[in-house]
Amino acid sequence: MDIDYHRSTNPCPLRGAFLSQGAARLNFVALLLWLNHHKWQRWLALTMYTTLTLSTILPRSVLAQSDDETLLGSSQLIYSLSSPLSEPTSEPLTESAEALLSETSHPNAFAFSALPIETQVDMQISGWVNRVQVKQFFHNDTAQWLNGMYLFPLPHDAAIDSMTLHIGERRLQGEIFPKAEAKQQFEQAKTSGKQASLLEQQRPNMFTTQVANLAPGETLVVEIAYQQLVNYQAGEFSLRFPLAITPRYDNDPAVTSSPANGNYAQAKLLAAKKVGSASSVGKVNLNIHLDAGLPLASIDAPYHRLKQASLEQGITALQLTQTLAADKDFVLRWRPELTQAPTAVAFAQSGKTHRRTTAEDTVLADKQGGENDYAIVMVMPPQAEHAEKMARELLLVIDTSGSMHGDSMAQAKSALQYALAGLTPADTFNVIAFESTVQTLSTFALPATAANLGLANQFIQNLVADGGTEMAPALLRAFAHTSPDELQPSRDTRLKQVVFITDGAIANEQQLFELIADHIGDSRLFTVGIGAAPNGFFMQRAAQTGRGTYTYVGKLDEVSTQVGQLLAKIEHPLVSNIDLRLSDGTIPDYWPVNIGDLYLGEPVMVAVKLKSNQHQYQSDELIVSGNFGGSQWQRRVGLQRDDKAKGLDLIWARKQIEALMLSKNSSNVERVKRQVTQIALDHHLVSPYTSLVAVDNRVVRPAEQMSLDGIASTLLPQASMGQWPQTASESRLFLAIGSMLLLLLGAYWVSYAGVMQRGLLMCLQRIRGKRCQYR
Amino acid sequence: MPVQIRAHRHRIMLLVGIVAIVFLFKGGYMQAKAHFAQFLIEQAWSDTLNDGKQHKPWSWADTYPVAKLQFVSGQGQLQGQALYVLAGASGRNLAFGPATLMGANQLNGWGNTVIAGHRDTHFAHLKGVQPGQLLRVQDSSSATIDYRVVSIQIVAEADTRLLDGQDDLQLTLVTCYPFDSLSAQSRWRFVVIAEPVAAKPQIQLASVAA
Repeated sequence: MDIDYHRSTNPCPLRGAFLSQGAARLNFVALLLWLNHHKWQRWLALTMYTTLTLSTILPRSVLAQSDDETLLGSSQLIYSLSSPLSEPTSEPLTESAEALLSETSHPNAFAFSALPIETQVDMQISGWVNRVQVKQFFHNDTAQWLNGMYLFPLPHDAAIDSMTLHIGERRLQGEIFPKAEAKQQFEQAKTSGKQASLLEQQRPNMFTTQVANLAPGETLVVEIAYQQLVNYQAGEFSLRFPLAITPRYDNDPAVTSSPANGNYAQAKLLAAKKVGSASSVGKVNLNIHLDAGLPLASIDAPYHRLKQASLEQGITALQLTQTLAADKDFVLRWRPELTQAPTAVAFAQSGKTHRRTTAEDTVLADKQGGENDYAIVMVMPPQAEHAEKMARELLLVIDTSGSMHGDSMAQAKSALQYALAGLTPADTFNVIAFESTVQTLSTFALPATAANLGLANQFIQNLVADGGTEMAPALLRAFAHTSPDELQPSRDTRLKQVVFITDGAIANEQQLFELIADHIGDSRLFTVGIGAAPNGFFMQRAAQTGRGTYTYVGKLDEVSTQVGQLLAKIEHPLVSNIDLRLSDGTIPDYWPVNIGDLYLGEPVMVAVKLKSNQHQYQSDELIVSGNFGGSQWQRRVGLQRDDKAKGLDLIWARKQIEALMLSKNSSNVERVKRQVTQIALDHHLVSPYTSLVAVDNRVVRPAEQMSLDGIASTLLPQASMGQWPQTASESRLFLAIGSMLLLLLGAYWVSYAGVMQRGLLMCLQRIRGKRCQYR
Repeated sequence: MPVQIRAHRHRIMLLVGIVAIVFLFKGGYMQAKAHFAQFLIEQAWSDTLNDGKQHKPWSWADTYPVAKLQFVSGQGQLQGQALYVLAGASGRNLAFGPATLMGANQLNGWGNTVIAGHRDTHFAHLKGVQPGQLLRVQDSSSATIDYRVVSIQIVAEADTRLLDGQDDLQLTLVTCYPFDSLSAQSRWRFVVIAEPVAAKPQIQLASVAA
């Protein structure tokens, strides 16, 4: 396609770069005032000059607080290139479409309109599993045929397995296909005038639904269903549903009215206005059926108000009535009565949720020895009051390279001091600071005595941020770190925790990753990334290899609190080296494979796949074992098949996909893609490489009418791994202030040194003199 | 009061003059640093192209160049100065040049490469970028790929979904918005999304479901 390229000259010069007529007049008045000798008049003139200079130099955006922010989200898309794939439509434009697209330079340009989306969320919580149905109502209140697209967030661990398109009374079940194929089917339906819907994953927690050929006045409903495990921590269950609303950028004249793209963008703006962008923030209805299976002590939603009603058999119905904080996700927490705290739960289901029906597959399944069972296992380790706290060696590794200079360093320092304060005399510790070189507090880990802690605090205080970022030597140093009594095996039960704090980018990530995998041994690696620069993906993988966690701190003022939370959590390691096997010694297929250590109040939570016959005839028990307070800890969990348990295979598959995606690197991209596609297709799951699509076989849109694209996006995903870097500096502000001051000084000098005054007076006198002569 | 002020007016004038010059120097230094650092980075970049290793532009630097970015007109002519992109978008690096956010991607290989730059220096001319603009990116293996701008978006600072990774090759340029604001803080980001011009042949997945 041909792109008419315009190199746009700056359509908006700095405001005030030229003086308006009014300003010139003001200037003249000021000059006249100046010439009078009264002091107050001079001051007035000086003030006028100041104002003038200010308005000349400073663009309006500094002086006026812009109110360009609204809490109503709608399309964030300002303009985009019409895709080369979309052929110019031969269909003539309808009258109103022409009005919308008036003066559009591209005949096939998209027109974007904001679609109001109403959402109905129904949650069925039964025990540990949450089944959620999300209904999205695409309503077209224009006189146009519309294609709707809605970008929305879901929880990052949602296993989406079903999409149903409701057309009036009829229901079309969505089928799973590889992403490209699904997209193709949908686009075909769209151009041929059939109604269809498509559900794609954009990011692990962002999805789009699209509907094709929405008739004027019609409402299409897309129903999505997903499966999710509820969180359990310290005796409290919780779940999260994204409802936070993103601020929207109002179309700014600087962007939308530049000559090159003006027509195009304005056409869309027009379209958006016509369709009614104000109503584009969708209404959300939320209903919850909570069947905890246990008597509940409390139910609580911190940011939303709920209506609560008790149904039969301990089921509670909840309904969202009011949103208290628009920028917060919906969070629901419930706590069973204290005596009922579960210690081990396992339930299984036989077969998959979505079975294939073709003969081939049945044969295949028979060969493999029947269908598989899927189970969810939760084991709560014994709590701290019964046991000794595990002794640990805490290694604090901190980046003191130049980029940490300033606020980051101060925050990191206070976080380190917080960490030291949490040590008990049984623990040992060391501090390693690195830049281009590595600097350590001591050659060996020190016992956490008052004297040693004092030394450490002093060491931390004296750290200065400067130099480059060389991570490898620091990591090697941390992993190789040994205590002086290394030869005594009795001290080996110490759990070594490495907390690695950096804001730097990681360059040679593959090398570093191999280094960590080779040297990690029994250490635990907790990575903490600060600011916009850290390589979050790498840090997350490194932490997973090191059986630790990754903490990302975007805002600098949150460093000490976030790191504090991490350190408080890892202060109480309870069980380490957790393994899972069946009672006959075989190891089942379970995810996540690397079970991290368990800390106070945390359960083991895994999804397991078992061969049906195996589990029925040979071993009915799963054995969870680990290292607890220096001795072996083990718990047997009987597997019961539960008729109520549903969708466990989806959770198993979702966890496996997550692990595979995390293992992705340059060399295995294609392999991971194939594996994930296969798993997702087997389990009917939406994934980065598979989408759900439903196509009606009836043609509804007359061929002579065109359909416009509408887009809606209101909700913000849960905090993602990253932050936009700060991409502005004060250079121009400084230049402006400097030149303003110089100008003022100049004006002052001109007046008091009397240059202008004298000159003018002389001139006036001369004129008078001449006049006198003439007289 | 005025009398006293008049008595000290030379001192006040001197003080104001010094303050003005300090501000001018500070602002000018930032601009100059951004401008001239690019020459040093260019040297490091040509070293990198020669031997394929990472070179620091100056000995105490915390970063190294990873790419060369150029704006190309529709007729295939280069526009403006080439920009040398540094590794790691920390505040310090951004003062010297545009910088990449390190993530799950490989420049000119796969995934979404995000390059950030200051709106008042290196990325000031993003203001004139239109959809369809061509961008040329050279990586350390001397391979060059042309990208075409497909969309431009303005997003809130908290809305980072355009940052997230994906598999297909994509180039994302980001700077603060609005362009003519003077402050060092901004709530908005101007995001330019570009896709490779000659789409790489994608390996089609055998349709397992069919």
